[in-house]
Amino acid sequence: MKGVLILGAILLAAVPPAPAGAQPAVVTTEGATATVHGKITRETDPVAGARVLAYASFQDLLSHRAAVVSADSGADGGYRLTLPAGSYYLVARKQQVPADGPVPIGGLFSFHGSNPFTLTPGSATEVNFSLARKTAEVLVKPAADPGSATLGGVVTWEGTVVEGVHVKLYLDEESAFRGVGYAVAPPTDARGAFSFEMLPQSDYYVVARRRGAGEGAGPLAEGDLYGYFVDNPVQVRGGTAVEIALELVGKGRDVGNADGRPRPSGTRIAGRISDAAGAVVRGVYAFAYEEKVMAHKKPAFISQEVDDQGRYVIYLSRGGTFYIGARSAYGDSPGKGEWYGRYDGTPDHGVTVETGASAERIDIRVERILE
Amino acid sequence: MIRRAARCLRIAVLAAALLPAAPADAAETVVRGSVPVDTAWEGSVTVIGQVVVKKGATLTILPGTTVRFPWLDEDANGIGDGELNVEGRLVARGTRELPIVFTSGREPPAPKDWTYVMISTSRESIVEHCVFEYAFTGLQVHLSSAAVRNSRFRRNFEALRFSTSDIAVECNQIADNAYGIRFESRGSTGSITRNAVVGNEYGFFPVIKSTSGVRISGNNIVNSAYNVKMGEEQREDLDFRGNWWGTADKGKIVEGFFDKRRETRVGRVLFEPYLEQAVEPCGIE
Repeated sequence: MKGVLILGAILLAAVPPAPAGAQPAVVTTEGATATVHGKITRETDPVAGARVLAYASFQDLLSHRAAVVSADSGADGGYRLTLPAGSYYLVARKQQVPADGPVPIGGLFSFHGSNPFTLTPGSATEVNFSLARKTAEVLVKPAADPGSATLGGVVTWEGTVVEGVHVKLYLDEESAFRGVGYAVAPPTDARGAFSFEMLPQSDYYVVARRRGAGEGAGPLAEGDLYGYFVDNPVQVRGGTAVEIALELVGKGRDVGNADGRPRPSGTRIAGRISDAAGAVVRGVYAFAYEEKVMAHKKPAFISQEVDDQGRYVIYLSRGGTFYIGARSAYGDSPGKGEWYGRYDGTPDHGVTVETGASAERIDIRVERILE
Repeated sequence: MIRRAARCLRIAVLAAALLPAAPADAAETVVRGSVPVDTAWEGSVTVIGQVVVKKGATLTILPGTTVRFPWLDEDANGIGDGELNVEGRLVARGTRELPIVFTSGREPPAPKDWTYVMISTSRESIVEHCVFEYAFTGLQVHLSSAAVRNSRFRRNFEALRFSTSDIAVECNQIADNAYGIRFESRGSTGSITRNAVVGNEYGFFPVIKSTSGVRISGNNIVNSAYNVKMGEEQREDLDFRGNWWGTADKGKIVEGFFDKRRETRVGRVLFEPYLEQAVEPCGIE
């Protein structure tokens, strides 16, 4: 495991960053490479001339130091990128040159909701982007109350303000901008406006979501809206009122897919989920956690819903020890009446699997909580 | 009763045969790993690391038993690794004269010497006339139904924590901890009543997503920093009506809350009407 990570780091170091304004580099390194491909769209229309930028770390993204940049997307919005296997933050952009640096007003941008991606050697991963337009720079004014700071703005989608959007603030990228975050504003009003009051001085990452099914957690569904503010992080200083304009994109197939499900890989944990009587329980998923205490934690990897025989497979992007459970819902803590269970083959519910190996017959028994 | 205990002890012998446990002598039992079948503990029991009472098994702890958690900190997080994780059922029913004690195994003992007793996905667990001391959390209850009565929680970092459970917390003394009762109720139901939550730094700490499904009334709540500290993500008002706050002065009572009155983003403690004198103690003298 450690050897794989070190190899990945060496390969990344060997790839020169694309200089701003230079022709994009289509990297074709020999050895442990991976491929990313997909479509770039705006409001369902394909976008030609856009590029996908891969950053080896989040700090590199903030510093505009892309490890690899794709060629321009074609007339159908299609792109393809070959790069050393490893972990990347993927961003799509279309603008006048330079290719990197801050996005100018009018530029199109998308930070993929499934970032960061772990690309295993030899893998081919489909990643589709839907672009949002930057319509304004961050506006900083003196606050009405010099002793406090505020952050507010307007949320739009396809040129129209959107009501009922949940805008959240995160202090760093560690949560991958999922979960409760540092703060959440009341849903946007009929003018699409949101506001955070009495904020401590800090840098904030602004992320917005609107779910068709209302407030909740877990992966976005098709038709949900998602937005990562183009100029994150937003600096909020004491005594200032900061205003931003945030354009959302619609989640189509694979856009804003924040559920942490990797593509099929050679590393997996598989088994069957059943109730106390051994019967198949439909609509449940298996989860792999990195911490022993699972109930309130975010899983690292998730299976698809069990099949009609109760079977599941969790594909992992790496080996390690994972704590295995099953639930009928994703996100937040398990609730009363929900199907819930943990792998019982080890006292701590842990399963250790080597990278490239498969752990089979990791069967899980579930029961309804407090019923 | 004697016959029942003897049956339990026979089961304990059977369970011990299945476990990598090595009793030092007849009076001292050392437990590691898991408790897979119905088991009874009595006398002096030493828990090494994480011990799990498996689903389907009931652990019965007899009156007068002392359960010790020796200091072990393999992950070097400053919290002792010892924990008893009950996924089956726990019946820890001491008596006033012979309480069951969960305590540190090192000298001198200190808070956080061991992790917790955690009741998780359990049904109808019972904790009566027990003492929890020197833990990170004395007792945690999650996704379970449990009754916690007539017990003493002292010198822990947290005394009691719960989430998504049906609980009855009655007639306990929760004193001299950093936090008394911490909860993320998340749909919990039940009651917390006739407890003395006194002399802690914080009395109640609703962290997030708590509602008033658990009735909290008829308690004595007098603590040094705040009697109720609302977590930064606890946006909903919470019902704490009918408790004694150490004073009948409304202004002084409010000083004991960290809630919307101090931080506009969090919910408000609803405390009126409140008791104008302390509740008579019950269960523990």
